Amino acid sequence: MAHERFHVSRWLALVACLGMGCQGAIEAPEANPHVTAPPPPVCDRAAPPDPGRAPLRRLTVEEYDNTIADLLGVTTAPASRLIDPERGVAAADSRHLTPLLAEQYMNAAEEVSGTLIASDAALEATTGCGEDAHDAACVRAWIERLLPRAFRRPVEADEVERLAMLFEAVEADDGFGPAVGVVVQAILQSPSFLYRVEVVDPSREPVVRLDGYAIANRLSYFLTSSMPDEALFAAAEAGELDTSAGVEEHARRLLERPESEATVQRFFAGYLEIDTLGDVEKDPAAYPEFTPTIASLMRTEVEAFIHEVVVEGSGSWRELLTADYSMMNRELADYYGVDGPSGEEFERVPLDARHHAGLLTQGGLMATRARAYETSPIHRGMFVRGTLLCGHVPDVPEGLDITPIPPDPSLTTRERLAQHREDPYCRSCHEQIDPLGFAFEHFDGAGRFRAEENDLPIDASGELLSTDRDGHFDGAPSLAARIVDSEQAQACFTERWFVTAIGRAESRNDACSLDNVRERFVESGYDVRELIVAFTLSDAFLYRAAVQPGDATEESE
Amino acid sequence: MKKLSRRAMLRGAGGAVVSLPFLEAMLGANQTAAQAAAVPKRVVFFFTSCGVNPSTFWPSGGETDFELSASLAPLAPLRDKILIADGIRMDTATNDRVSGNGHDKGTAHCLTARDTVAGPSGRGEFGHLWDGSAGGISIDQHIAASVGGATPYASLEFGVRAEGIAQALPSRISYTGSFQPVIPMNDAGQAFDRLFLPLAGDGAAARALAARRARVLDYTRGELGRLSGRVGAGDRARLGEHASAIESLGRQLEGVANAACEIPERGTSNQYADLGALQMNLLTHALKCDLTRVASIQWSTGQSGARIPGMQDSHHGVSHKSESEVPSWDGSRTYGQLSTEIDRFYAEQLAHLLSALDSVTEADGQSLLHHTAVVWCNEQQRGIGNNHGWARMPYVIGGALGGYFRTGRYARVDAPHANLFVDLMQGMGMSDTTFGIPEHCTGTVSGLA
Repeated sequence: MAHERFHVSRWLALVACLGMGCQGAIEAPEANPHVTAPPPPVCDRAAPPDPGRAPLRRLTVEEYDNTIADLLGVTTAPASRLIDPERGVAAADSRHLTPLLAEQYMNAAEEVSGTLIASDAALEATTGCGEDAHDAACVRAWIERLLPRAFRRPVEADEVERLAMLFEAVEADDGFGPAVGVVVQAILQSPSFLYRVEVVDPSREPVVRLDGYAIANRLSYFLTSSMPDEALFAAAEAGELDTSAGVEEHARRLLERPESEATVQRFFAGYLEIDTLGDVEKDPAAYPEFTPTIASLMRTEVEAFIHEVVVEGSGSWRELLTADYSMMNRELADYYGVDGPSGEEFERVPLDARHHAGLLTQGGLMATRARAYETSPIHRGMFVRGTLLCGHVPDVPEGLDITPIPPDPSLTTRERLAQHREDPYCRSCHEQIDPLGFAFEHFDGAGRFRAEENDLPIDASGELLSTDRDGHFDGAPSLAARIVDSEQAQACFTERWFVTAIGRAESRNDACSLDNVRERFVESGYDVRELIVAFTLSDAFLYRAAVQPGDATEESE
Repeated sequence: MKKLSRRAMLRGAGGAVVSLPFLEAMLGANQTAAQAAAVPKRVVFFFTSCGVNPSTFWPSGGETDFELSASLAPLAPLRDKILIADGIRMDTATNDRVSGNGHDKGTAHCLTARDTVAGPSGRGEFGHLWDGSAGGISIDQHIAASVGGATPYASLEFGVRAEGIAQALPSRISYTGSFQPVIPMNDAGQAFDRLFLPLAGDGAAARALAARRARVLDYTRGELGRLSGRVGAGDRARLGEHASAIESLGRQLEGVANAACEIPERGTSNQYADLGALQMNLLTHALKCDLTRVASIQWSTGQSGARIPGMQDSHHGVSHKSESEVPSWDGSRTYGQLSTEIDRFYAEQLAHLLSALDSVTEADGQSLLHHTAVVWCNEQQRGIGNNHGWARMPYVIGGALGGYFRTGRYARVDAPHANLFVDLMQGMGMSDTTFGIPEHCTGTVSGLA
């Protein structure tokens, strides 16, 4: 298996027939619901720390550009123009270096070095070597200053030596400026720059705590998407990051920096799969007012709301899922048909608490979990079951007739999906999904509130099943209230953060890391910021398996 | 107006430019001049998505006296140089139970013939595997791995808006391995700058640049080697991947330095068809100068959001309508007719590419098209009626792959699509007898060669 996982998301394939008929012509299944997950791994608190795997992580596009800016003051964001943007994928296992990428790293490095040696003044600003000091000694001193920051760790003398030799060789052929340029290019294409290398000394212990520099890198890339700042380097050198208290202090400091918001926004964008808004098309006959502009305003609404809650406000996960307000500008408020601001700026807009539930009922969620011409209770139900509850639903059985049910103006969507309830075969799975989606039937397929559908009253009630907060609900806010009280949902949210924080999918090794994070999250009153800090104190963050050079068996799965 | 590179003195008869120095450099001393003069074979994949309208796609008539359909009519001038293969099934996609989305599967299987795999997030909606991947190497990259050492670029990938869909799987057709998609160049200007700008530079400066780059690559190689000795096996494999990318890059830079080439004009466009024309022109020139022997041009993505000129629905939107339904924005046509028009649009683009390749005469007097196989492959079977399927995939092959394919025919065949890959490999002179999942590959497609 390429990716070790303790919950195999069997529910994925079910969605192949979303919004479609369920013709139970094949044999009735055996007693249902495969909705229960395999037993989760249990944390053994007596056992030594188990950090799991720590695959080598290459800088993402954002990390590369931010690092170039912090290291060299070049803010042209060269990586953002790479042909291979890798979609901000955080998981190291999925990121491979191709020849095309190597070529583009070369081009990016040449572009950056070009600006640094563009003139004598630029050269002097880069190296500290004025025209009267265009010599090897001055350049060596510059390399000695630059390299520990570029590699983000103390460097060895021979590492400086190799670059000094490279400089001298090129200077002999091409002169001072080009030779400085080549040194920059070499540093930027070095694996010690491109990767977040964590070399640990050979050890008899199976697991070692990372040194201060590795911790500094993990903290800064997780929380600021860039290289460590001077305070982190100083803390690493002084040994402050060898204690959890020291790590926590710096995590909190970095979280206060504006750069930390990018981590939060990136997480939620992936969690909500909100980038799909760019792909959403609505049938103009059904939703004539839904335009690409509206879709992009909905994207901004989600971001502005997350900023309002997590950066400016309480940080509360519960508030994210239950708030009776959202963020809109005039155009978006007009689209939704609510009283809002008169200008282009996004401002807080109060909404009817009987219908609205934070992110869950925002246009971004509702329009992406819908069909082109109608809602899709199944997609919305799957969002709740899968994304919010980490639930499991089996594949669509083979041979199932999945012809879509045609629209019928005399019925509500819910009524058209009645077969899912009546046929015992369909019901076994769909009762886990459809009702969760019916909770959102007051929001049409383009994200707007509706009091009725086809002049018929809307029934947004249902039963939440197979959770630790089962029971009746009526409408999105009442479903959301059950979800935010559910330990299953709390654990799920914690688990969703894992790949952002640690850079790989979670595995069975991570039970203690996840337990500890979840406990702190709950104790903090579900503060997303505290969850982030808690990740920096987890075993998976602070430790790694010892590396024995030459041992071909370690790190195998 | 055509610009010539500094090394464009080696013009062959008929205007073709032969890159002899590089070929000689790559060939061993024991190879004869006759072998060196042999014209290389090339494979090009021409990808479109969302299926075709089957009622207007397939020709009528017999194997050689067939009549082209409404959709394929633009290929009429090239009738003798194409091979229409009817009866190829994408069995691997039909049997893939990992992804739940037809566009994930169709796009991923089109060139890989392997099951999809879920990504680290383990998630996705609408059945998509959000960050999933095809299950292994695609046929273009497999062929490139075999023949790519002879040219500066092992393969080149062009895209015509082959981007913009948030999910990973429907975006990508080409992979060097699981989770290793090969990303196409979607910007014609950027593609020109990458491929042809290095050929147009001034001699001394270009040599100095090449020398500096070689030094930097040497340094990188050394650093990768040193670091490899200090990390665990998993990370060592990752650094090994990097080192082999550096080797490819070094070979590419050296090859480019020795290439002789007619430089096409640089252009950019935001218009779908115009952008496609620019990309096909770059592709043609790249083959002509022997910059590569394996290429692909990916039109849009799986689940195509592209709007064909004159249509308000996306291609994907059209493909999910019923054939007789009439669009709200144009009462004069049905969605079935729109589906046919989309197919015809792509047949027209294919005809442009084939004609361009046909207009290049190579050293043996035959056309570049004769030595090439351009495979029009699709993600789905049906492009109308909301039921895509993979049972009767629309394949059209342009060019004879140096005489391997018997063209000018409408061939009724019966084979899984991976079999076509075996034909391509054998046509390229490779000895492979299977590709993808063994049970879904039974040899060559009987009746094409």
